[in-house]
Amino acid sequence: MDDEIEVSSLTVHYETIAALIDINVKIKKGAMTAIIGPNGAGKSTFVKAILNLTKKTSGVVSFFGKSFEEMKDNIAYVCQTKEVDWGFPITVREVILMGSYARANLFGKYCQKDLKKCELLLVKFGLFDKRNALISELSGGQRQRLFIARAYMQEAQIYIFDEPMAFVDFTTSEMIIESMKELRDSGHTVICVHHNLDEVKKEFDEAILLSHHLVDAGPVHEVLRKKNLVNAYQAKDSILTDAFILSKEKECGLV
Amino acid sequence: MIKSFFSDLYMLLSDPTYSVSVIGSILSCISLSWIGVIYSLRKSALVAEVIAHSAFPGIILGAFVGIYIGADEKWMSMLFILGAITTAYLSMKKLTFLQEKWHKSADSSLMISISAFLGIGVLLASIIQSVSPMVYKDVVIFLYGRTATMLYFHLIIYAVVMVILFIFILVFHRRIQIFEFDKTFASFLGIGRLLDTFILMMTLVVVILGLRSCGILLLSGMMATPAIASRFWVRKMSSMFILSSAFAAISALLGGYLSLYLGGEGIVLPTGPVITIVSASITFFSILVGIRGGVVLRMVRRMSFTIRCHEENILKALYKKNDKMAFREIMEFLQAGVILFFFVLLRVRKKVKILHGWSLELKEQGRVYAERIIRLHRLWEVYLYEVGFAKGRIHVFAEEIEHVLTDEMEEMLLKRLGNPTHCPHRQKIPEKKEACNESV
Repeated sequence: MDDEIEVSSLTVHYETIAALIDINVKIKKGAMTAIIGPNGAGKSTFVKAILNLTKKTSGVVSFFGKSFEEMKDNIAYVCQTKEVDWGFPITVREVILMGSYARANLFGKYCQKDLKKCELLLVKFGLFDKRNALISELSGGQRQRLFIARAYMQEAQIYIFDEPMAFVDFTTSEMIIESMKELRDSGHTVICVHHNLDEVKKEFDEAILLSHHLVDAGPVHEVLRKKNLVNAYQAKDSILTDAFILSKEKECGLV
Repeated sequence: MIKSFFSDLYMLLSDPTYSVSVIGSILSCISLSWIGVIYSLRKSALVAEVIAHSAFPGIILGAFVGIYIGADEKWMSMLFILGAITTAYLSMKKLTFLQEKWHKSADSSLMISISAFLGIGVLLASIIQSVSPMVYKDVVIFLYGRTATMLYFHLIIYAVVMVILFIFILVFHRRIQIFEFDKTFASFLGIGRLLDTFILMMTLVVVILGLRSCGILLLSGMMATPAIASRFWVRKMSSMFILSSAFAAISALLGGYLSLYLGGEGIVLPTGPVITIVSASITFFSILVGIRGGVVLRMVRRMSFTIRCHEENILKALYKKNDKMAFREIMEFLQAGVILFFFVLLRVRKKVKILHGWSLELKEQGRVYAERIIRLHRLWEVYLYEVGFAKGRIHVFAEEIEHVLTDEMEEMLLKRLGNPTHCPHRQKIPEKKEACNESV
């Protein structure tokens, strides 16, 4: 109980569209868990719903026996880079330091220790030359590394990544996987939405396979069985979601 | 002329009748510009439009109450403000309701709010015209704004609001930055809700106080333009706040001055439009010559890039020919006119020797440079060929890309391709500079 993130009967609708239907799953503490599934299967929605960023239709999530509000300060979430405005007037250094804002004083002044840590992270993620540049000057890979550096700065227990490998170069994706492993090895819980099954097989411990509903969850080699994958990726009929949509539409008086 | 302009300004600021209105509009325009910076970062400047328009029925309702209780001038304007804040707040609530509960798109919700409230306002205004023409005159000035109607006590309110806003921004600028940049992240820190409410409250107050100087119809322009203009000069959020308040102050001051002196003897132009026109001119000027992405700057950059491409092409041609080339030959090769060629020549002069009889020969420095370009060209060809482009197509693309590849990208290409020695057309790829220095 206290060493799991427990998701029970989680259902999420976007207006009338059922994105996730009755997900019951446990995520192990201190493991690296990949969330996989075809495009539009609700992977990002799943992550957002457990983080209260999307409204849940129903369901309860507990983090090591505590509620989200209680654990909020111990969770670092790395969103997809396309979700923020990259034309915003803010420098690379400022974004990384944001991670330690919870420890800053009322005026937003950061302490010496955090400033020093920021310098180290700038070097670690290859952003030192760009530290005073505006974020609009960064490439796709650098943007992702920037967000991961910010998450490091948060010193959280749980790290949640949403498709960090999308649109990044080879060096960056290597760097990301290494830092995830590093986090796991130092006892943190890592959850990552991922689309590359080969990499999941190679690097991750656990997997959750979603296709609007939970197809399977558990150790990677068990989840990535052919039967499951056929079920998730090749099932052509969409009757499951269609029926749920129809039910919701009738309920709202739309049809 | 300049001297008389300044003495006029001095007159304006020292004259007791005019100084109140000028200083008042400066104060309210500065506050507006700060709010404008926040909304421009949020990319939703139209919110001010909603607040301003939906304040109108509130002003008139305030007037009705004022007539009913027989309020004096001071109380009347307090009632205006109170009424305006009430309806503007209601309209903001309606806006969020439409967007969140009924899932209407942002602009249709804005349109519904703006038109419904202004419509009611105009309707009420026509009723008040028949009840009390005097009060009606006071009310319609809010449509376009007239700073001359400002009183000393308005000034105090504006100053207090500006100071509060100033302290708020000073203390919370980091918080504002985090919240506006990444709302998700801010929600984890738990800094979103309170901040958002406070910003909305300040916006309500500042916009409604600004109505007297700019008017309902022009206010959102006054709010948005200084922020937009500042983006073309500075890159930090704090600098945006400073610069846009300077722009706002200049607009208000110059607007006040021009509305007084442009109208001629005895005629005072409405200040609202004049202030907005000045502010819009500043913005237009900034877009034109601003040092951060202004039109002129971009033109200069484009020219400079064209010249560089030509320079590199000359060096390449000289390198491949391994002989001198006459000016005429080069101009034909580049398909460039005399003027362009002159600039290219200026740029390339250190890398080549200009010989008698108007021809060019490569210097060592130019040779190294040319080798780099050719290397990048062929590396790119190797890369394109490897990822599946047809052999016949790759040269054209490489001609374009060779001019833009950075050292960093070159490094990545080399790493990926594993130091190839020949391009797909079986030509040798020149080695990196260090290597060729050794061979010399």
